[in-house]
Amino acid sequence: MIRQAFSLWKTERQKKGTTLHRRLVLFFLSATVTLVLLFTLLMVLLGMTGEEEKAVQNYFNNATNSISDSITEDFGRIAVEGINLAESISSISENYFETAGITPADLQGSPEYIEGLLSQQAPLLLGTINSRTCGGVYVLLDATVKPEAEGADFAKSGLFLKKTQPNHTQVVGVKLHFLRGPASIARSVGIELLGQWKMEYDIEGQEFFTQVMETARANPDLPLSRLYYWSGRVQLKDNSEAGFLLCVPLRASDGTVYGVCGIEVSDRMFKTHYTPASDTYDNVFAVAAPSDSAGLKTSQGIIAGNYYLTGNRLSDDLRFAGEKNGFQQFAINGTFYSGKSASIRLYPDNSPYVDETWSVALLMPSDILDEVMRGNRSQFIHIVLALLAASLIGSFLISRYYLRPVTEALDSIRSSSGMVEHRRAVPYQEIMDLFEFLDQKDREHEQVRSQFEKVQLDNSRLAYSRKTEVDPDSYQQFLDNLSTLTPTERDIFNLYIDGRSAKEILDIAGIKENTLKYHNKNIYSKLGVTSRKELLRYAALMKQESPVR
Amino acid sequence: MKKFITLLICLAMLLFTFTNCGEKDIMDPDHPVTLTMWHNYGGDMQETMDYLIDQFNGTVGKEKGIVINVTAISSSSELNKSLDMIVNDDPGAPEIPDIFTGYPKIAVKFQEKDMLVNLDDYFSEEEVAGYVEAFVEEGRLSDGGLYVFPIAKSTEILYVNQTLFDRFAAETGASIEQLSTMEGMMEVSEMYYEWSGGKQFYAADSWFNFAEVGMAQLGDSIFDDSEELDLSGDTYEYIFNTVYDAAVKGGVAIYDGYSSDLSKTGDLVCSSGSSAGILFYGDTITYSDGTVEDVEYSILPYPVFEGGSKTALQRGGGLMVAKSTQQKEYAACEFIKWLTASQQNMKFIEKTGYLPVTRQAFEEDMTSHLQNLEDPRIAKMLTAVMDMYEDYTFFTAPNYITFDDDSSWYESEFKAILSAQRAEYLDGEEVSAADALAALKK
Repeated sequence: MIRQAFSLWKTERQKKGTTLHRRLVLFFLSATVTLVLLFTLLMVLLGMTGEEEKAVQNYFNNATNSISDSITEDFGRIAVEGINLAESISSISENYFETAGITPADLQGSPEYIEGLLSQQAPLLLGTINSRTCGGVYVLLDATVKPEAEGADFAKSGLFLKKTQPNHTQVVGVKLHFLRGPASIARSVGIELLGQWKMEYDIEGQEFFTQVMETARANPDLPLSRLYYWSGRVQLKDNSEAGFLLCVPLRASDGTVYGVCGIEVSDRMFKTHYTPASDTYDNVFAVAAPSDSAGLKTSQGIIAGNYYLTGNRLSDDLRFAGEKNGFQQFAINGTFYSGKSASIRLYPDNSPYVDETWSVALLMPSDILDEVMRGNRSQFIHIVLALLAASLIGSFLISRYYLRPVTEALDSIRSSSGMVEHRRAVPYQEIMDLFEFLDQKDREHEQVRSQFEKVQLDNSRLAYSRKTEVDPDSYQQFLDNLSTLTPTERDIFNLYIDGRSAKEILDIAGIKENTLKYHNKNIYSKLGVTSRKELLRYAALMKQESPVR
Repeated sequence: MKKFITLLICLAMLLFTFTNCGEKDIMDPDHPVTLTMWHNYGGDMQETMDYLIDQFNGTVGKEKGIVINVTAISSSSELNKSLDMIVNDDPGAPEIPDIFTGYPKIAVKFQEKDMLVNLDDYFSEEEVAGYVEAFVEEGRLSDGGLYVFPIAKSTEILYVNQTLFDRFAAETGASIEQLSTMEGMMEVSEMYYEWSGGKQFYAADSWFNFAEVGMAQLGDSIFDDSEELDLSGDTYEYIFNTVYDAAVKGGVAIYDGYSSDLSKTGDLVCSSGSSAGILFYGDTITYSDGTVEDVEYSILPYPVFEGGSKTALQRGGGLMVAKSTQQKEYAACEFIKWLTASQQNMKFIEKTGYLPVTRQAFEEDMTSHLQNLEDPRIAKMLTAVMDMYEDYTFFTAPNYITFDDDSSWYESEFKAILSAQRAEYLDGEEVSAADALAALKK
C-alpha cells in the first residue's frame, strides 16, 4: 500500500518536477546535516565528548590523592605529638611513683594514688589539647578505683578531655569539657563536666586498649615510636561522639606497661578537615578506615560528606565489587558506591602493626555516579539532536524567506498583472536580468506579431481584390493542372510561390536561364496562365484559401 | 484611555522587574557568599547545631548561594571576651564574624558604634509577628530596632535530686514544698548540712541572677534609675541575709563552676539554673570512691521569696548580624529565618532543652512534641517550664551598657566575700552578715 502510494507520488513528482522551495530545503538541510555530522566526528576524534568523563575521573583521582595525603600527613603529625605526650606522661608518672614509693601495680584499687597520679598528668593533657588540632586527649590507666565492684574488669581510671572546636583558631578562647576522670580534678583545673561525664572508662567491647597493652608487653625493646597504634572508630560507652584514637603505651622504667595515652581525631574533626568540596559534585564523601584485600572496614571508619547522605559512619563494611567505567565499586548491604581509593601508610616499617593497612576512599552512590556519566553523554547527544532540529527548521525557514520574492514575482506574473511594476520587488540581480530579458523578448515578439498581423491584413486585402479580378474557370484549370507538373516544374513553381526572383531560382535550382525559360513555358502552358504575374496571382489566391499545402 | 492602561501596565511590569532584582539578584548560587559564625552551643548541643548548619548549607544555602562557616564555638563568656575586644577595637582583636550569638548587653555596645544590622530592615512585620512577642522585644534596643534575634530561650528552674532528697526527707521530715520559697530553701539547706555531716544542699548557677530576680519578686530592682547597681535598700539586705547563714554556716555551696558538676558527684542536692542545663544532669551520681548510684531528678518551678510575686528570669541570647555588604546582611538574615523557622526550631529544642521562639512552635508544636521526645529529661523539663509560663511573670535582664561589668563584679565579689566568711567561720572566727554586706557595698 505504502509502496504503491510512494510509487504514485514518485510518478507524479517526475511528471510535475520538484518545487524550488523543496529543492532549496534539501540543499540547505544536506549542507547543515553534513556540518553537524562533521562536528560530531571531530568531537569524537578529538575526544571532546569524553571531556566531562575525564573531568569526573580527574576530580576523583585528585581529590582522593589530596585527602589521602592530608590524612597521612596529619595522622603522622598527631602520632609524633602523641609519642611526645606519652614520653612526658611517663616521665611525670615515674617521678610520682618514686615520690609516693609505689609501683604501677599499686594503683589498682587505690583512689588516692590514681587521683594523685592523674592530677599530675592533667596539666600535660591540658597543654596538649590547648595547643593542638584535635578532638580530645586522654590517658587510660590499667587500674580501677574499685576492683571489687561489679563490672570492674572493664572499669579503667583515666582522664579524657574534649574540646568544642577541633581547630586551633586562636580567635576565641577554647572551651574544654571533661568527659572522663575524677570530678575533683576537673574542679581543680576549672573545666566543666560534660553531660556524659563518668569518672571511669568502661572498656567492655573495646579492644584497642588490650591490644596496645599486650603488643607493648610483647615488644619490650621497641621504642614508643614503633608501638603507637591507630584504633578504628571508637565510641566510648555513653558518649555521643566517637573518633579514631591514637594509642601510645605508657611504660615505666622497669618495663611495666601500665596504661595508654593519646590523641583523638573525632568525628567532628575528621568531617571538618576532610569533607570533599561539594561545589563540584554533590553526594561525594570521603571515608578512612582499616582495609584489607576484600575492601574497607567502614564499620570502624569515619566518613566526611554531606549531611543528608550519611551520618558519621557506615554501619557495615564496604566490600570491593569490581570496576566500572574506570571507577572502583564497593558494595554494602546491597547498596553500591563507586569512586577511587588509596592506601595510607600509618606505621613505620618495623612497627608490630605494619601489616595493618588503612585506606581512604572518595565515593559516591553508584547510581548517582552513573547518572553523572550518563548525563555527560546524553548531554552531547541532546546537543547534536538540537543542532539537527535547528538545521531542519532553519533550512525550511531560510529557504522560504529566500524564495518568497521569487514566488511572489511568479505569482504576480501568473496573475498577468505585468512585470514592469514588479521589478522593484525582486531583490535578486539574476531574476531582474531574466525579467528584463523576458521583457525584451516580449517586446520583440509583440513587434513581430504586429508586423505579421499587418502583413496578414494586407494579404487578406490583396487576396480579396484579386479574387474579384480572377476568372473562376481559369483559376479552376490552374488548380486542376497543378498535379500535371513535373517534379522540376513543381520545385520551380514552389520557389515562385515563396516569392523568389528568377535570379534566385537560377541560383537555387542551379539551372541556366534558357532552361528556366523552358520550364516556365511548360508551367504556364499546363496551368493555363500567360505570365508570371498571373501565375503569382493564382498562387496567392490558392495560399489564402489553403495556407497549408 | 487605552494608552493610559497600557502605560500603567508597563510601569507595573517595570516596577516588578526592579523589585524582583532587589530580592533575587542579590544572591548568586554560582558565586556563594560565605558567612563566618560564632556560637556558644557547644558540649552536648553542638551536634544538633552542626547538623542544622550542615543541613542549611546542603539545601537552602546551596540553592541561594549562602555558606555558613562556623569559625568559633565556645562558652558565652569566651565569646563575649573576644566580642568585647572587637567592639573596643583592641590591638589583636579578631575580625568581627558575620553572625554571632550573644546577649543584648553586648549588642548595646556594638549598636552604639553602629556595627550591628537592624534586623527590622530584613524581616517584614508579618515575619516578626510569627515569633513570641516577649522574646522579640528582648532583642530591641534603645532606638526600638531589632538587633538580637531570638533563636532559643530558657528560664531558670530548680533541679532537685529526688533520690537524695527523699532519703534525707524520710529521716528529717523535710518537705519538697519547702523548696518553693527561698527562705524554705535556706532552712532545708541548713538541715541537710547537719543531717549529711557537712554536705551542701543548694547552689545557684548565678548569684547575680539570684539577687536580681529576688529583687524583682519583691517589687524592687537591683539597678537604680541611673542604671547603676544599687545594694543599699532593705530589699537587697533581706535577700542577702536570707542566703548568708546557709552560705557561711553550711548548706549552700558557693562554687565557681556550674552546680551540675557538683550534682554529678552527689555533692549537691538542689540547684537553680538555666532550663537549658538539663543535659548536664545525668541519671547517675558517682561518688569519689567510684561508687555509682542511679538517681532521679525532679524539675520544680523557680523558688520565690516569701511575699514576693512569682517571677523568674527569662534568658537566652540571640543572633546578631554584623554590618557588612548588603549581600552578606541579606544572606545572614535568610539563614536566621531558616534556622528559627518552626521546623528547625523544634529540632533544636528537642535536642537541647531550650524553649522555641516561634509562636507556631511555642504555642502549638511543642505540646504535641512533648509526648515524642527521645530524651525524657527534656520532656520533664519542658513540661515544668510550660507550667511556669502559666502563672509566672518573666523578667528579662536590662540592656544597660554597664550591665555585663556590674553583674560580673557582683558575682565574683559576692562569692569571694561569702567564701572568705565561710573560711573564717570554719576557723572559728566571729563573722556577721552586716560585715559581709558592708564589704560588698564598698
